[in-house]
Amino acid sequence: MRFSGLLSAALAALLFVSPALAETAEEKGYRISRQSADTETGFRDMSVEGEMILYSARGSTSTRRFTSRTVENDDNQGSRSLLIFDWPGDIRNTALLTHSFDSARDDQWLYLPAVRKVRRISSSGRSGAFVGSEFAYEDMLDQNVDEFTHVWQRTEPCPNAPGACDVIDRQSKNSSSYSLQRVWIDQTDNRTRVIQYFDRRGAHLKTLTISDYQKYNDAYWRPALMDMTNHLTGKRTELKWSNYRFDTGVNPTEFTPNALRNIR
Amino acid sequence: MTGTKTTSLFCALALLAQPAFAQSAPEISGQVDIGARYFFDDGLYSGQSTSGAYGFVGFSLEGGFGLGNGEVAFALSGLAEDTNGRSYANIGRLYYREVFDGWDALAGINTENWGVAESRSLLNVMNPRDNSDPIAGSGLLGTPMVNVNVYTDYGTFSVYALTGFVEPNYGGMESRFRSPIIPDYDNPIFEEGDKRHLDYALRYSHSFSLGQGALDVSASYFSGTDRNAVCSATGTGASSCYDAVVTALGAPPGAPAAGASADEFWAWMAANATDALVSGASATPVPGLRALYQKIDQVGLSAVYTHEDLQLRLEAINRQVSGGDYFAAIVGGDYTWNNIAGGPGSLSVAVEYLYDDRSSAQGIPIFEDDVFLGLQYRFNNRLDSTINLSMFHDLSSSAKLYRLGVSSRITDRLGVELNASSVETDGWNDPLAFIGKDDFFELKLSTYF
Repeated sequence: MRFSGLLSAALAALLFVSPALAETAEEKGYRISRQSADTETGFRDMSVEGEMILYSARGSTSTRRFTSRTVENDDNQGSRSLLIFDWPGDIRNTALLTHSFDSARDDQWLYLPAVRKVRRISSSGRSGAFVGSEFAYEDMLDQNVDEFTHVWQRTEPCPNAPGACDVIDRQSKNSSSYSLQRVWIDQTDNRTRVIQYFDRRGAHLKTLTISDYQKYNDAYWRPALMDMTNHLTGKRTELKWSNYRFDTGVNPTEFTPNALRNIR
Repeated sequence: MTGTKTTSLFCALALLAQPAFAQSAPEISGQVDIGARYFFDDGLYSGQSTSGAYGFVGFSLEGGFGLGNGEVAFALSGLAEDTNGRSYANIGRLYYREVFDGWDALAGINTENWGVAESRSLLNVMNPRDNSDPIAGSGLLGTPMVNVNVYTDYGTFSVYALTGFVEPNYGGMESRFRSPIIPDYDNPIFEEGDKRHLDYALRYSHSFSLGQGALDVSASYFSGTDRNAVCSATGTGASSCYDAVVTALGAPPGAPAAGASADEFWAWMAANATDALVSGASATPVPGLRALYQKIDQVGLSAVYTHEDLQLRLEAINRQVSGGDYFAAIVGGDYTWNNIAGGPGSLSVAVEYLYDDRSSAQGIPIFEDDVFLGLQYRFNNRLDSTINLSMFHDLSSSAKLYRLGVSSRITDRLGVELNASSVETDGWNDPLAFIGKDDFFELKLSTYF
């Protein structure tokens, strides 16, 4: 009786422990990244205004303003997004339309207001600098969990928040200018706190610090501030997000190449 | 037409006057350009300027506001310069648009560019052009329309009712980039009798995955009055401007008679023409030479295949017109190298072949057997600096047209642009020789607000 009790306790312990034992660092990394991403999706549609302040190494500044709109696809497979530039004036009303899919390459079109032309663009240019800032185009796109491999590294205090963070290394399955991204995800709320970017030679290129999270529509946490520092050049870009709006009933037909011509 | 435009404008203004309708504060933004263009040579034709620098001022203003369930958008632009006939004012956009579930509708003045090729476009038949500055000008001008687009999983279907005819901008006798003989644009003839004729266009467009890449296709159909005039000597049918001159004044000794092919004409020109002769011909008035707007039916196709850094493009049109059907196409593509020399810069090289089998009665075919080569270097820096260099090379005559464009920001609200163009011909053997004295460079500063 005592023996069988002990045995069943041991069995129970084994059963309880085994899923955790069986989870590899890859699985754990993926699971945490997925949980984190899931706190950000399900909003149907979103619009937000972005303002970038570009600081040169000598401290001079330059400003970029744009509106970003996203609508999730009905089948929950990917999303359609629009970036409409407002400043500087020479790129005003230039609009970038991205159709991103969970398991296929993105489709992208650029509307050039000066010639009123819609141009298909290749998504392979995504490693380029976003409007001359320290953000690359690939940093601005939806960070789709399935487009990366994830490996959990360790748990440590968050660098810029009170709680503990899981540290996860992720590598893009597509072409990327980074060999590795190291992500700090807060255990208390699954929010991304810091991302370090490593270039192809493995050098620590940039650090993104994400802060001032606020909850919108009682459901969606979004940051108000992102700060990207380039360690090789000393340049820095501050990205301030404002005027977040969710589930406003944005029409998906606005997110097609043809409608891009009349987007404002 | 002017009456209708004024009335609809008045209605729009009346709506604006009711604050209850306006849902959002109007946003207005704009740009002011100031610059100078330097011509290397004296113009060859009567009325044209001498060599030297000529200043100009340009502007554009655009904005919009919510109205009812939709929005009103506007875009105005213009250029003022007092010597070379490039001045214009254009309403590129002034419309009301509303988005519904799966479709949208727009009524007012709008500009649509359907082109996909890099060198030029064959597909745009709805909007008139600014012909006074074909090299670095504004391109398309606004035209009134009612447009409905239906978005489906099988592509986008668009219908356009073009409710009015806006004449293109031809400049005048003083304009550079013109042919020596120009018809009377102020008293045009319309094949359909009335420029208020309702024209229409249909367009279908769709994007697919194809293999490892993506394919964007479009098919369009236009039926109505051509937005570009041809010459008419008789006042009824189209004729080449040369035929019109020969009909009115008689052929110069030894010159081909009316109805000669373009090849015969250019062979004779190459052997006999001189600057003095062409200049003299230009100064002689041609009685009865009028501009004719023909009725056309045009089918257009475009395809763009994109795979990673490679893009292949096609534009083709077939135009049915009483003065002679013709076919024209542009085929080519470009390749982009990113991260040049490990830096942020990118280089795109575009190559296109241009074909056009129109008869000379349908306007001078300039790019009838030409290769276009375009190089673009983008610095991808904070100033968004870009260099464009391009060349058209006529395979049959060896004539070449070179263009250079350099642009950069100076500050967030100030930009600078340098444009230049140059023509090279083997004497008078190609239509490009007509603009052989119009080489220029210009410097332009733009400020944004």
